[in-house]
Amino acid sequence: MTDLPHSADAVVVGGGILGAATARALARTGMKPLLLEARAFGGAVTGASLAAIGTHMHGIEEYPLLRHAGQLWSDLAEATGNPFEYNRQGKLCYILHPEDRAVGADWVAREQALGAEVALLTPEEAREREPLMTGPLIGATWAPDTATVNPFLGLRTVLRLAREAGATAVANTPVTALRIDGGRIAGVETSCGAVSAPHVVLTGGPWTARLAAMAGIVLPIRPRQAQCLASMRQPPGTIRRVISACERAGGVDSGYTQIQQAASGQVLFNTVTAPFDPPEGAQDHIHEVPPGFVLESIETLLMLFPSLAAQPLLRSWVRFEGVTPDSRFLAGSLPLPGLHVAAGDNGSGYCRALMLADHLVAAVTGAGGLPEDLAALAARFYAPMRFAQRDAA
Amino acid sequence: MSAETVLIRLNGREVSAPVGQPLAQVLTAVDPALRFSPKDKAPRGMFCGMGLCFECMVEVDGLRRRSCLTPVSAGMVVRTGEGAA
Amino acid sequence: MTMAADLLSCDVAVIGAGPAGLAAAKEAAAAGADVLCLDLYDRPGGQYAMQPGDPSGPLAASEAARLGRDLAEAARAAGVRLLSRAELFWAAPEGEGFLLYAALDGGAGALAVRARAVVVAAGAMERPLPFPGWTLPGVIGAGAAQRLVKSGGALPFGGKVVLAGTGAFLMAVASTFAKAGRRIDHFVERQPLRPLSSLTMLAPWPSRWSAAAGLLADLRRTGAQQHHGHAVTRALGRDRLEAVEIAPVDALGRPDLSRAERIGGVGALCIGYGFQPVIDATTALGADHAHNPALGGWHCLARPDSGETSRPGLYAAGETCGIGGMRPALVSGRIAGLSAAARVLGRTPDPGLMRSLAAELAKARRFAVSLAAHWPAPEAPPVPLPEAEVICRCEDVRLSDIRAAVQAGAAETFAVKMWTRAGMGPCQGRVCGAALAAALAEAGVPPGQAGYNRAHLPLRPVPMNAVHAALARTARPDTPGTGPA
Ligand SMILES: Cc1cc2nc3c(=O)[nH]c(=O)nc-3n(C[C@H](O)[C@H](O)[C@H](O)COP(=O)(O)OP(=O)(O)OC[C@H]3O[C@@H](n4cnc5c(N)ncnc54)[C@H](O)[C@@H]3O)c2cc1C
Ligand SMILES: Cc1cc2nc3c(=O)[nH]c(=O)nc-3n(C[C@H](O)[C@H](O)[C@H](O)COP(=O)(O)OP(=O)(O)OC[C@H]3O[C@@H](n4cnc5c(N)ncnc54)[C@H](O)[C@@H]3O)c2cc1C
Ligand code: FES
Repeated sequence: MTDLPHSADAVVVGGGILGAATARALARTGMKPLLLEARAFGGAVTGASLAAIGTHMHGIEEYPLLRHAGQLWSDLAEATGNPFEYNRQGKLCYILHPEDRAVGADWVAREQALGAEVALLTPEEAREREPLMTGPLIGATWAPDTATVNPFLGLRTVLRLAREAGATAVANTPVTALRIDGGRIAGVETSCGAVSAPHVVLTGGPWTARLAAMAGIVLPIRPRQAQCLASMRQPPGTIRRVISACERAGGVDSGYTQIQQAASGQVLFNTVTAPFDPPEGAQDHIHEVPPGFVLESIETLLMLFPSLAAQPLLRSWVRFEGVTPDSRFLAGSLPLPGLHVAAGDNGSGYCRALMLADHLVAAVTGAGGLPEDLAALAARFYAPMRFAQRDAA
Repeated sequence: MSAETVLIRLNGREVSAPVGQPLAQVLTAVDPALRFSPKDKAPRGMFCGMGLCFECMVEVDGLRRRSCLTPVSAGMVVRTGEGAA
Repeated sequence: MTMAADLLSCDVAVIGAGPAGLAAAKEAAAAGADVLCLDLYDRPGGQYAMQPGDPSGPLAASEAARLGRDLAEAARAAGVRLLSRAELFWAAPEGEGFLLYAALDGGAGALAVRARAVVVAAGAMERPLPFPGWTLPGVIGAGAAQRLVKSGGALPFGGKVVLAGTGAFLMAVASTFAKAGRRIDHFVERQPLRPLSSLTMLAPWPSRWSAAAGLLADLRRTGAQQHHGHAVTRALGRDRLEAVEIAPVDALGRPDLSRAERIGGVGALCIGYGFQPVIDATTALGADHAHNPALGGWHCLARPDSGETSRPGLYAAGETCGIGGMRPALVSGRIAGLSAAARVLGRTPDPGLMRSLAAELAKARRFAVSLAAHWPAPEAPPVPLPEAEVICRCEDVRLSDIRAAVQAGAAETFAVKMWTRAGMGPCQGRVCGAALAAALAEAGVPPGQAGYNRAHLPLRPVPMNAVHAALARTARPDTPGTGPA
């Protein structure tokens, strides 16, 4: 186990995929960052993730950034010999109702205009790509660029690379206060002592608002309950793609489904229809999945894949994602010199982690970062200032 | 034991077994390796004998079951090894 | 997805029909509560009082089998609905009460239960400690061997039978073999023979003398060659167990590998280093737990005078609350049953009776504690393990993986699980828990701090259509989940 240093070039607070990626990106510029994790690396949202990497149906404005984000994961897999089960298996979004077909077609047309290889499929074409999906679909959209990674192994790889590049990473060390001196950030205090640093990056997932509040900054990041179910291992090829629901004519709130088979063989699946507001501090406790969610998820899975009915359910888990009012990340500098943030993921932050880490390098060092055209878009799209306000107190 | 003996189908073969006895007992007598571990593909057999380790999982009539908890009944179709669990 | 499930209601639901659960169910019903008792096995009785497969065989007349029959009959006579082959897999609070979901017949059916109070008496299981070769088919728990013999017939492994480990329970297993007329070839007990200290330990408990003498006689009757002060250091074989290596141990229990000897032609190695409480239901329902090696490690905290856990309306009894044997299980079951019934009926239990039961429980636990002190269960694997040894059997996680996780910063069971997958498989960490704790202890994290792998729902794997059928009886999409725990 590592001892806590007294000073660092930058402290990154929160050892999920965002924090690990940020520590690595900073270390690659020659800085000596310190990554502090309150409990276990990847133990919060990151380790519970389905970790799909892709662009399809995520948003047209963000599309170039997402494409770059996906490319970074693919490049990392190639450069490291893929120790994290990167698998570019493609994504199928099933369509069940005639009125939704137009929504799917619209997404396909708009993404095609941006150069994406997406397509609208007939049920037969969908079944060619996913033979056991014998449910009553009337069509599907298809995005071959979607990949998945193993969320733990992805985190482990990025953390290892961060350490190799010169970062120090310490678990079981919650940050308890931010040090402010002369109107700028001066470091952090932890349960194991203080660390001085000219830069602090908040990557605390659903706890980020609490961290920012330590500097008197109000960030509108709220915890939102997310959950997942896993079956016992199935033979390889039981589910070949990432399966999602096509956006419905009613809008984004009308449903979210993600089904995929992990390299372990387990089928991972979730369906979210009715988001509810968790109580204050919900992310601090271990929860069990609501039975109603289990019902809906199983109904959806077995509607699409009826042959899995007798297969055992193995596990369920709950995590709290950090979400912003407009469902976009907050990434960049906060209105206190030296303080930066990358959080507020709307449930698909794994995908963006490497890209956002590069974006933060520019915020921290004033140089480097994303390719120029993307940097401008990222600065606008993820601007934390769109919400950050100084606390009156 | 003097229990009635019935036929079950084990990996395509007929095997006679005392009705009501834990299936694991019958399977183990044929071969103590009931399945293979997920990564190393090492042979595994019953271990806890009380339903809590899941090492004895096999396929019975299409359901994955703990064979230490499953009593033998006439005509059951059992698959062990590859393909089960 | 065509399976249908029943929805039952009751005042008190008891999970487990061992001595503790049956006693709790009977007392609660006799006090006037409507009681449902669910148990995983074919027949009520649990472990100690398991009903033999052959009702006219030699084991059916044993004291233990008779106790199980009597308890089940008394419970039924008091009006308890006893359901066998019913396994609790999901539980959630609902208002002041609970929703429980069970798989029937291994998942061929399903059941939902609405209960106003719950008594968890889920018993104990072996506390497996890995040793080189422990994953070979043919290596089984000592408890598994006992259950096989009780359920009828010989051990299904050809070759010699070796019974090994430590503790009074090994003697109980040998006794079951003797009563069933089964042979044991080698008996390997880690403790040296200590007639004097055994007599000193038993001296204050005259009621146990004849039982102790009987156990010794039974062990001799099995014909086993006895190796006291020895431990199994290795199981050998290609695709199944073929040989076992044993070595003498020193005063600290460390085996002298240079004096290891090999026993060939072995078919079954039945090995037991003590028990641990089954706490999946109580952890998933959010009750407080604590660690105490003398009680088998992590156990559910229940008030000795009421059996109530930290979660109102949730009671625990028997070995779920700590290893202690059948007697404390019986008394704690009565206490929990009386309290649970009083709660739902809006009464206070007779304070005089509860006081005397609490005193009886304390006495029964004292004997268990002195027995545990006489046969301390090892905390760490009894033999140094090679780095490549598998620790988590479900996910094939090796000791080297666990050491790497600790090296990378993992300082609790949960962190090791996230890093290595140890504990993510179907057993939910029941089997690897003790070994993980030992690996963390080696790195300086005491077991109380390392924590345990909290079970997540479903407690046991269940076919999805059975899960659906059970949940569909009570839950709709807006049903909230289990709160903070
Ligand atoms: C079920 C599920 C499925 C998902 N599927 C996908 C998907 O398919 N694709 C995708 O891209 N994303 C997906 N996501 C979302 C994605 O996993 C998250 O966006 C991402 O993991 C967030 O990473 P993070 O580093 O911001 O947060 P976290 O992993 O939560 O990390 C934050 C860390 O900060 C630590 N911390 C908090 N307070 C302090 C403190 N005071 N001091 C020190 N440390 C502190 C916490 O302990 C925690 O480890 C999914 C999420 C879930 C739950
Ligand atoms: C394998 C084994 C053999 C033993 N043999 C002896 C012996 O010979 N002599 C001796 O003195 N002691 C023995 N013990 C110790 C024994 O556990 C206690 O003496 C006594 O049985 C404890 O009673 P109990 O009621 O607490 O638990 P148990 O008798 O263990 O009963 C618990 C019951 O709960 C059921 N259960 C658990 N979880 C669920 C669930 N989720 N759903 C439904 N049902 C569930 C179990 O199937 C079991 O029937 C043995 C222990 C084990 C593990
Ligand atoms: S042998 Fe452990 S569950 Fe059957």
